[in-house]
Amino acid sequence: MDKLVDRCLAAFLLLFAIGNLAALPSQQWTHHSGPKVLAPAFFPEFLFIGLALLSVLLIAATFVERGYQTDFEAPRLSGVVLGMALLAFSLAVPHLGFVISAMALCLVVMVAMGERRVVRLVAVSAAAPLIMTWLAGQVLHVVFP
Amino acid sequence: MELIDIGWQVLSNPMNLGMVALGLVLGIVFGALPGLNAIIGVALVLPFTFTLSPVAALSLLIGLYKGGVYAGSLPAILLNIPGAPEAAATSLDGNALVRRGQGAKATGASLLASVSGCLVGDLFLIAVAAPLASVALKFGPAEFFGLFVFSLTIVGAVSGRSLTKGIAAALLGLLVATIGMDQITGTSRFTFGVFELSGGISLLSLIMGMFAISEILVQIEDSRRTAPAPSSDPATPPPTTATASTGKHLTIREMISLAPTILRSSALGAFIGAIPGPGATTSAFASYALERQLSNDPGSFGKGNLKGVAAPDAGNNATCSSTLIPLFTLGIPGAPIAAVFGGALMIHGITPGPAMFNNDPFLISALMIMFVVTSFLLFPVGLAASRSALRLLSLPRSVLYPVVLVLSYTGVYANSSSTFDLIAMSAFGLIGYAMRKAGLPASAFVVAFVLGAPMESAFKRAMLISNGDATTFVQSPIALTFFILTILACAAVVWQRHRSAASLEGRGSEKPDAAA
Repeated sequence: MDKLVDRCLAAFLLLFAIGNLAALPSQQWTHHSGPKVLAPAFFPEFLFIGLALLSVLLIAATFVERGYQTDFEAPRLSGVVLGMALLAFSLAVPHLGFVISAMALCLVVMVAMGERRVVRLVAVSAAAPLIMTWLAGQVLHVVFP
Repeated sequence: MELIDIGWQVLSNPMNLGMVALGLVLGIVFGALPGLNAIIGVALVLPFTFTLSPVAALSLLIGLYKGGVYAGSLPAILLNIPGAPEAAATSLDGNALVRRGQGAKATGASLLASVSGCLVGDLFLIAVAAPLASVALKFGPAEFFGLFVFSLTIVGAVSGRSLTKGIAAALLGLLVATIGMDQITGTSRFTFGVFELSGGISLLSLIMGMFAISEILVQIEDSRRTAPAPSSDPATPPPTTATASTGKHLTIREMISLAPTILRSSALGAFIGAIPGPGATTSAFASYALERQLSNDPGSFGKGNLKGVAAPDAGNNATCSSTLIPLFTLGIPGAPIAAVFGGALMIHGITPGPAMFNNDPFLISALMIMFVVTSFLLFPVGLAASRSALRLLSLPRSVLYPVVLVLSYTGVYANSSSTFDLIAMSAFGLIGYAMRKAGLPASAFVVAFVLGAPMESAFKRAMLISNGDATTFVQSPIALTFFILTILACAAVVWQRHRSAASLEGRGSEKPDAAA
């Protein structure tokens, strides 16, 4: 299982690097008449080549290394769902406003963490965004959407 | 004389001293809270320092950092729950002392060692920084590129279990740093038509996402898996101020007997901290191992030896200042916290690196003074605040984490007034979470992101000066030395890991024989 996960990771990195290398223009120098200036794509290309080589090394290590071990830890549904909730929160801010979105986020996270006391749910999710935005507005003169 | 004058100017401003004290209190809170640590604390407070003067802002962050590192040991000693990985070594003997009814001695030794460690680290920073910066000022772009490659390889190599994954994480960080406008030609790269990306990724969004958001996601996930709060676990007594003050306090004789341990561990910690890569955890465990090796009674370690508390805490706290040496003198953040401090300097319009010593000598002198002042203030503030901070351990996590999340987003928005930065922060939170799960070290990614722009600039300038001749990197003896050191360091890491894997395999194969 350890080896398979790392092979998948390495294959993903390899595809990512090769895909970008194929998409980037293969131009080493800018077309200037003066001194030789490296093209903007050169440095990223250099890094993508390094990444591709490392991915190949990682795949090779899973085959060659005896007793291969990895740091992989399977993500849990709660972590992924909360991550998505954070992304949804940041996308909702321009439409719903910061305070309303933050209240909803607070509520979702508290429920996801197993909080079931209604008074605490309402109090914390309402008070935390209100207090923080008020403080930031007073001290740093920030206008929240 | 000039230093005294600057010192007087800095200390006569009550704002600076107030910020140090506030930073220490906040640091102790963040350090003592489960799942939070000094790095998250500094990253969270960073956006709120924007309106402060650079000296006041950095005083607040220095206080927060030192307070957080010290307080990480409190839950480790009293509850056997290390607040940070570097505090794990302290819990071995610290908690054993608490169980023997000597909690006051353990916390006293921890505070004494932390303050002494911080001071030794400060003195090391003051002694080494200026001479090293004057050497670095003589470096050209080729030498800097060699140095960046070396530092990044070391950080990548020691950050995770796998050398390949560590360097891959660093390369990904460098790639993210190329998003935006090319410095020399002004061409947009990887912006995909998104206007907000033309200025590059906001450093604060990336730091907050990678360190704070991803950490909170992991903590929330863990809290669903384990007991909801320490206080609800019947096996673990709830933290009380009484636990901290159990038994007699540290005597003068004990303090004197701890002095050689503290000095040795502080010196070792200050040295390890200055090397890009290893950091506080290595320093704490190395100090503990050294003290155990030198002890006449090594068997007492792990069973409640005061030296087992003082050594890791002194070593750990001594890295606080010395870990910033590569940042101040070479512009290289050698550890995650240094990357956050680098971000703090940049937010205040200061480019970290040797030029700081020439361009802003007042700020550098003021910072050195504030480092020492913070260490001295840690003693009274630590003594007063640590007992109250323990009450925070009983705070329900279902309240703590949502509040910290909202605080993070408020801080990032307050800094830039851009909703795009909120999206970037969430995205980097998810990327950081995925990287942690896949075993790709987030610290190497962040350090590489901070180094990305100067590294590319050094590479391009070296090529420009040499008119496109790539041999310029091996013609310079200093750059060549760095490249050789990089190869040697990689070889050493591979060899060391291969050896430890072989010894583990050997032990595994011995087990059945032993059983037989």
